[in-house]
Amino acid sequence: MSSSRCLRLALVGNPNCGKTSLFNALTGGKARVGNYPGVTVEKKEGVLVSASGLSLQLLDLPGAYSLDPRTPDEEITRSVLLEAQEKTPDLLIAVADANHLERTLGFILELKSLGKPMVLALNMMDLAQKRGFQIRLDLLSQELGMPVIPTVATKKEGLIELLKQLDENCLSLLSSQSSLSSSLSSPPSSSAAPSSQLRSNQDGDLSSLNASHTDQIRARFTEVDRILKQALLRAPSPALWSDRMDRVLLHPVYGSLILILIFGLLFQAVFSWAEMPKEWIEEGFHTLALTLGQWLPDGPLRSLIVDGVMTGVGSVLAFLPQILLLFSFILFLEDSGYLPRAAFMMDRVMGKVGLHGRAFIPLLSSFACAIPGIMATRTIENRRDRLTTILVAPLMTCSARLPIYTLLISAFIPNTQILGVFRLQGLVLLSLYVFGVFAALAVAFILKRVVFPGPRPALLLELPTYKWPSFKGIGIGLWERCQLFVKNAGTVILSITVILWFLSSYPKPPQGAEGPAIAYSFAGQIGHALEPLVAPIGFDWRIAVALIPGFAAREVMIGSLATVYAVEDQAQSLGVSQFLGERLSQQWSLATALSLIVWYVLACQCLSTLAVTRRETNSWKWPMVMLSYMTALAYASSYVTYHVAVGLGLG
Amino acid sequence: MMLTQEGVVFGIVGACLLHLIWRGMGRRLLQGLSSLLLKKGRVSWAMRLRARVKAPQGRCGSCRCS
Repeated sequence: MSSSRCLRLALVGNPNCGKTSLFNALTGGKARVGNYPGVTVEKKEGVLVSASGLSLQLLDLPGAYSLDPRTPDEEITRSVLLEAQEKTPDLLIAVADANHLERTLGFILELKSLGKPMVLALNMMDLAQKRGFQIRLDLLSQELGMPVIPTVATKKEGLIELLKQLDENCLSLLSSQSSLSSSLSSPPSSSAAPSSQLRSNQDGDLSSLNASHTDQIRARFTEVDRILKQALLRAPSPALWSDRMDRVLLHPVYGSLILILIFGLLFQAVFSWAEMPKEWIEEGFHTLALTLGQWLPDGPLRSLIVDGVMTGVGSVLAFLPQILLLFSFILFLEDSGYLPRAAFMMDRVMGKVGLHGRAFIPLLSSFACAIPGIMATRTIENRRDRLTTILVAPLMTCSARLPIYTLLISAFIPNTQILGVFRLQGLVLLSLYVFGVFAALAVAFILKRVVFPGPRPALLLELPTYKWPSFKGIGIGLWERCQLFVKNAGTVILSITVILWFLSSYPKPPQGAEGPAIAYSFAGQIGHALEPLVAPIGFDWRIAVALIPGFAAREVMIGSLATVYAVEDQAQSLGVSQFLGERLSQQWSLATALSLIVWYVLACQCLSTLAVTRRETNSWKWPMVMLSYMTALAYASSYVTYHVAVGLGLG
Repeated sequence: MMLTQEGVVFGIVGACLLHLIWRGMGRRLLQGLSSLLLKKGRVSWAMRLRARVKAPQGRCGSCRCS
């Protein structure tokens, strides 16, 4: 080990003890945090500068309960801490939730056996004090044989003391390294022995290993009891407001009603509250398109900017307020600690279809996007349960579907009031989300019985204390979200729109040709070639053209449709983005609209989801299974929907 | 040479096409190029190029996962 290299520090501890909050506070990073276990499933790296100016590399590891990994995310933590590699951390910052010392200290003692220098950050001290805990830090430090620093990572309290302590430890580590490198002939330090012993134990005799391992765990927890008897002075007050809230929120009847009410409110808000800012954006693009249309001379450049860029990008950007509103609700629920309760409430329903209770949070994350949802399945220990969750996660309604749903609902569903409180459009949107959930549960039910049969393990889930969400954190989350959406609209969606405009405008129709010019274009020819495939489900050639770029990102379909219609009818093209819904309601039948909605609920129109499934399963087999079953399911369901609707006279 | 509207339009379309190819295949192209340089014995160039190739992060553009 070279003394000149940057020292590596690792944050390690139980899930949901505030490691990532501490990582963000120390490095100035913006890694995702949430008030539930299993948010971090991948190691993250950052740089922090200590009090004396030392530049240190900081690793944020996924939470673990022990060094015996049960889930893929715990395996990452174990491999970073134990594997014999150059990049193994030089110093460990053990992070412990001060409210759950009896559970945390066992892991800290196990980490101590690795023989690495350690500092203990006793996090969430403010909550512990409110709960009536009195922790004797000096005694705890003496018993554990490591410095103990009280911190509140979310409020950045105790960071200066922690940085000073890290500085002290790192300087002594560097000086010991330099003395070690000057005497290369000296025997290896005894501190390395326990970790190598831990590694070698894995290849040893299994029965003796099991026996000694159980003894070790027993001894460790006896030691934890002994330490806590000395260091923890007062037991917590019995009735906390968090427990009182749980009596209502986890109640089988009231809890379920509250869960339905929360999600009902969410979808009502997405429709009602976002309407005004959506209209402002549409008006802005309409005015801009009119101005540019008057200013630019007639020709292909004018058509590209007005029909292609303004119409395509504008029609997608108009949905930004709805997406931000959806995310503000999700971030609020994440921060408050309600999500694991919702998982607990849903466990009974999910259990009936054979899904593991832990699948709830990955599936709920998939409401935002299937990619973090699929990555969050790393917290599921059983491979069959994990694969089932991965395969059904894209059926949950991601935010990219929201613009398509709202466009079609606004165009085809009247905005009438129901019971004086709810609006029909909001209820239809909620029903589409519920449809996605039921589709996922039905597929999981079949998969668990046919492809991955096996018993369902019981759910063991840690319920965190409720917290008032940090508005700054929610604000940062929404800002990042807004930046990503606008960046995506300005790069991928813009490029696809421009290319689709080109395909819809060239080649020009021959002299004396009849019918719309777009019919002679590349897009028209591709659309007409694909039409026989999609005609049985009620789609015309324009929808077929728009479906193809929709594979890159679902929301691109809106921009593509807007471009195709704008190019087709250039006389009315100015500011067509806000009239797209009106145009669709005039040209499509309700049967076609319903069929397209069903297609978007069930089809796997996302290349990124397939790519992340390939990465998480380490094989192309499962992404191909996902693509095949979802396409077949979407096609069959759209076919049935279209023909039933036509039969009912809606075609 | 006169800059026509059609010329500008084709330039924009070409740039967008290149952008999409780069977004979709840029990392693989750079990796392939660095492997080729390594085979040709240009180790320092290959390493420099490889350092610029970011590992896939699982980003999708419509979420804030990392």
